[in-house]
Amino acid sequence: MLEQLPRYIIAFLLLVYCQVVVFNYIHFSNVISTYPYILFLLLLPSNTNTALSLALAFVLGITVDYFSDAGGMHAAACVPIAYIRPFILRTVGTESKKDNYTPTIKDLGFNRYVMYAAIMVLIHHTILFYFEAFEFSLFFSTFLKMLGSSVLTLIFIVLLQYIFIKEPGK
Amino acid sequence: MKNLLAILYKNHLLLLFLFLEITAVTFAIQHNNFQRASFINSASYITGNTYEVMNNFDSYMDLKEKNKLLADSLAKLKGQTLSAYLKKDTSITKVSDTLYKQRYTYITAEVLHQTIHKVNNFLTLNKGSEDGIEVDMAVLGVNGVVGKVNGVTSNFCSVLSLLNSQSSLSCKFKKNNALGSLVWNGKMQSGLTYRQALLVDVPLTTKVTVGDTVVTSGFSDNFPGGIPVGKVVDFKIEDEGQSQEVRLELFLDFNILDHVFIVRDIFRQEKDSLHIKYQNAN
Repeated sequence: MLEQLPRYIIAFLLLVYCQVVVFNYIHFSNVISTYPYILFLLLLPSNTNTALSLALAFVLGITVDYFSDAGGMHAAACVPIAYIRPFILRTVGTESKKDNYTPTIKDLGFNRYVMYAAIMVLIHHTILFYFEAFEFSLFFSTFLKMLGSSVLTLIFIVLLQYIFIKEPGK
Repeated sequence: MKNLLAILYKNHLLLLFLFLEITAVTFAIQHNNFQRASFINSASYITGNTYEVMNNFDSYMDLKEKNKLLADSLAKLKGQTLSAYLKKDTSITKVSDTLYKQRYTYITAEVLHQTIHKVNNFLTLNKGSEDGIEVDMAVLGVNGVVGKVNGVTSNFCSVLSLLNSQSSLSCKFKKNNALGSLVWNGKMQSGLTYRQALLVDVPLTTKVTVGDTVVTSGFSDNFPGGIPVGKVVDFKIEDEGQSQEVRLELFLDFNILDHVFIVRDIFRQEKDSLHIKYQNAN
């Protein structure tokens, strides 16, 4: 973990920067938006202390909130996924004997990784979009928004993996 | 205590999660409240300007009527210009220079808001102290008296309407200069509408006939004399036979009022200082 610290700091800054500068401005027909910054939470090592990942999720969310003028919505959506991440990892995680691994496509395999990422993204986006709408009269339109945005975020997360995650040893 | 600590430690992740989540939600809701508050601020800005917008709309809808009134007043003013008089003496222009010294100037103003159906009615005009408006200035309409300024801000002024139980205006009969005091007690007491007012304290010796014209006397502070106010529709003896009470129909229709004139008395200060110096000395 410690030797990977600079890498995670760079990942944090880069993802927040891209989210604030690029992804926040991607809107398809004013309905679908995308939040790939949570890739940072997905990338945390599997044996990360949950208290630490909760704190990191809060900081990440608040940072994005601050730059997108959203109050605390992103933090409120990030903290729960950090909390339940160990359970999901235990469910969909690899059977390999390694007790510490970085959840990437390389380590988990494409199918397992997409399942893991999809659950995380869906939970995050559900909380975020319903918090944004703040009333259930918009239930179905919010649901469609959430679903479309989740798919787009998932695509970005997978693509970002192929672009930035170097295979170990190279 | 030990157990409590043990429970706390056992659930420290859940507690941390709840703490962070509640903090985030609180931030978000406060942010929403802030948005709501800023929305309310802009809304009050809108309501602040609603009178003005509504007034703009009204004045457009009433253009025809207003044009007629303006044309009437223009005709009246044309009748007072020098060209309307027959010139009999070449010296008259020169004489008028010294004989007539201008005493009143008129500032036009627009009515932004007014009431006419209450017991105490007020108007709001779009001129204020920056335009030279002062408290107690007279306000006239095209064909009658509107009221008197009772409050000034830098851009607006409030006018105590003639249709106010506190208003009182010294008037006289045009035909014989008999004095009376014009009051309006509201429809509650005397069944008056916004087209009517009462002239009280008219001496019994004054012979009143229906249709007589009543004008301002010029004795009330800052009101020029001779401004037509209304005509007599009804009269009766009041106050145990001491005086007459005359019911007037006002010439001015407050319901369609939108342009008014505020009267500035150039000699006001001089007059006031005279009063203070010699009449209130004791």
